[in-house]
Amino acid sequence: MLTGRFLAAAIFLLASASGPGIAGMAPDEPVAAPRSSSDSGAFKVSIGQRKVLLSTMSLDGVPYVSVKAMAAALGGTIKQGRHPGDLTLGLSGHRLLFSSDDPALVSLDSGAASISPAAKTLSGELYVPSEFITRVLSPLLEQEPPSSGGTRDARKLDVKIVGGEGSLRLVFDRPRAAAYEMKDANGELLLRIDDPATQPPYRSRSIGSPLLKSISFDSSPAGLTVRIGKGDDLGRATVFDLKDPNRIVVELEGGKNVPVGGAAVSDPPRTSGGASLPGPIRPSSTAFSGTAATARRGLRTVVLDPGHGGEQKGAEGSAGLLEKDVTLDTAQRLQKMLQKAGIAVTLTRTSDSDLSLVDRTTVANREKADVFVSIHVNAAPRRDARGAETYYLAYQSVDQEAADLAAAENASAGGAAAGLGAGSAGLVLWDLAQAEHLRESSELAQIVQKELNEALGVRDRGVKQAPFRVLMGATMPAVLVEVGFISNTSEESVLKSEEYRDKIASALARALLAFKAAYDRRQGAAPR
Amino acid sequence: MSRAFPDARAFLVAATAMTLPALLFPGSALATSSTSLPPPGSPPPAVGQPERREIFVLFPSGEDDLLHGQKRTIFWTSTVEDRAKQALAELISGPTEGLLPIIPADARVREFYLLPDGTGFVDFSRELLKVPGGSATEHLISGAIVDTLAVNFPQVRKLGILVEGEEIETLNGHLDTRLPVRPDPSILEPALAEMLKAGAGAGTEETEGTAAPAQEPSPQGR
Repeated sequence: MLTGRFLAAAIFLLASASGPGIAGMAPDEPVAAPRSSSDSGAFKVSIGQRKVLLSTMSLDGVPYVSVKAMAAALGGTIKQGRHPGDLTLGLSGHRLLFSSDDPALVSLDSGAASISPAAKTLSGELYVPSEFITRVLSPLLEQEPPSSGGTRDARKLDVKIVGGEGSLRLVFDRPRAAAYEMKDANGELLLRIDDPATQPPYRSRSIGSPLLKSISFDSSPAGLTVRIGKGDDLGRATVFDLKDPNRIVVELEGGKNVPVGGAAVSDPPRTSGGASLPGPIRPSSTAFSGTAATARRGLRTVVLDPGHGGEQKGAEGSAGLLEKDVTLDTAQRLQKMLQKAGIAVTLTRTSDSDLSLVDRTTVANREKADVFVSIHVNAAPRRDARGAETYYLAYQSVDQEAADLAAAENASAGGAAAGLGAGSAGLVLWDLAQAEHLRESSELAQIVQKELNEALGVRDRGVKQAPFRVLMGATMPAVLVEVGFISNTSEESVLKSEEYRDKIASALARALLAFKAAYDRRQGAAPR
Repeated sequence: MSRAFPDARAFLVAATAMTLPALLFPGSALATSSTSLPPPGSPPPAVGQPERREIFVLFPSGEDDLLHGQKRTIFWTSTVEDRAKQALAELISGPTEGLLPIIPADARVREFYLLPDGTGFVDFSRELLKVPGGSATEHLISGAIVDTLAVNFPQVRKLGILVEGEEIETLNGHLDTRLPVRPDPSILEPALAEMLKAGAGAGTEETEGTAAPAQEPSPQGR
């Protein structure tokens, strides 16, 4: 993707564009439309009285401007997501949301605009064509920014979009409970909220996710209708509500084969409060009742991930033992033990096959696992390294800010949702999904490590944190266990034996059951 | 190889010092490997023998799970990019004694870039991915690459690891390397960790002598 020449050109241009724009020196019109990628030019932005000169770089003959440089020149703020293409630009009270999911679209305060040609990322920076500035940004900046922040209208519906791999939740915070109904109508889901006082947060917004194309709102004297544009990959949509605060949650799940369920759903009796239900509407969706049960059901499903597989052999011992074989066999032993204890267990792979890291996490999310455990065997250059260790996810410091933000958002949303910024259509990136489960992941890691120490009597290497790819995006407590060192000849020889693998599996089973006990207790004591 | 054939290395250094600026500034006068860039437009001076300085190259040990420094001398050429490439070549060539090799010996650094914001990109040949398995190994490899640069060149604040020009998801199935990786003091012997922390405040501006360690770690296997 990044070729040497390409990068070299980018560096040259970045160096020349690194200063802030210079006001008052602007030539009249866009100065340059250079043809080769090694040319750069300048581009003038006029906003009211202000004129700012921005450096451009030419990509495929089109002048592009760095969003970061633009923000610096115009005094804006940047909130960078994990991918360079996921970025929120704040400018004079306006908010622009760029998403790597669809580089040809940007969400604005109250709608969306196209970016043509599409935005590009280069060496970790987002670039938009300079045409975008004249056509979209300048007119936007001359408008009044939307009222926001502290004086938010209590009647206004607040919308958050919460991501997970293979599923997406729309969380509508509403001022008061009222009856609602969702219908499936030709490429759209129509969610009617029967409260005339509820106001839309914005008119429409393009989202461009595979599950969710867009959201728009229609107000009428009877109430508010949310039009949810179905994405191409949308399988099932379900709706349910929560109390304190009042929320309606629409869950969108991937998988085209599953029909969209829930033709009509309303506030169920348990949450209807003072709102009276209109006559004919009945909760008809089985998915709905399933979701209602989810809140209290306790720990039921575990997904185990036998590390590596197929061409990815993983680590190899000096006697020829392969990590991928130990992990699969141990996971299968653990599966049987957990199933005996009444826990549903799915393995990410059941044979010696290749599976990408993302696909492993996806299995856990798709199965709606309550816990995800990835099983590995370690190796180190030093031959006498030995012992077991348990990891939970660390976001790299570069991502930590975003992770903290997601976690804080989640805390304030009472565990139901995480979003980026109240009132904004912030998309939480899949990678940040694990952020809201880190506390429980850490708890699980402690329990697992304790059981391994007691059962194996090997050196305690402790609980650690690292940016394991397979744990990112897991929407449940998730840990990665390194059960021992295959690079250590004595550990390799015990790892060969069925007896030792059983020991490991039963230690993990005990840990998961102990975690389940605490988990179920918490859910019983503080149901959502 | 480079230690056995110092002349070959001098040649390599001179060659990279000349080709890198040529790549970055096509059409501009060639920079040379002297310690300061000539003023624009002046004729390229003759290639002299640049100053040499000691740096620390990081390797795992047989005793603990940390990376330890081994001193190497590189040509203190005009650009950080070029010095970084020399440091990485030393890392790949492995330790002399006492410590353990960590990067596959046949891996090559194809290119190294440094952005003005302190983000470096090192582009390795595909042999880098022949790393043996194990998350502990993977952690040491990325640590050795990133921290060797960060300890010696505070200008490098984070490092993207590319293979054959492409971003990689992980080195071998464990740690996320899709985005630039920050230096990690937790896998360094204490004195080097201190150096790294001290250097982290040094900013992105190139300051001559930043690589001269204020504190001497205890290099092994000299």
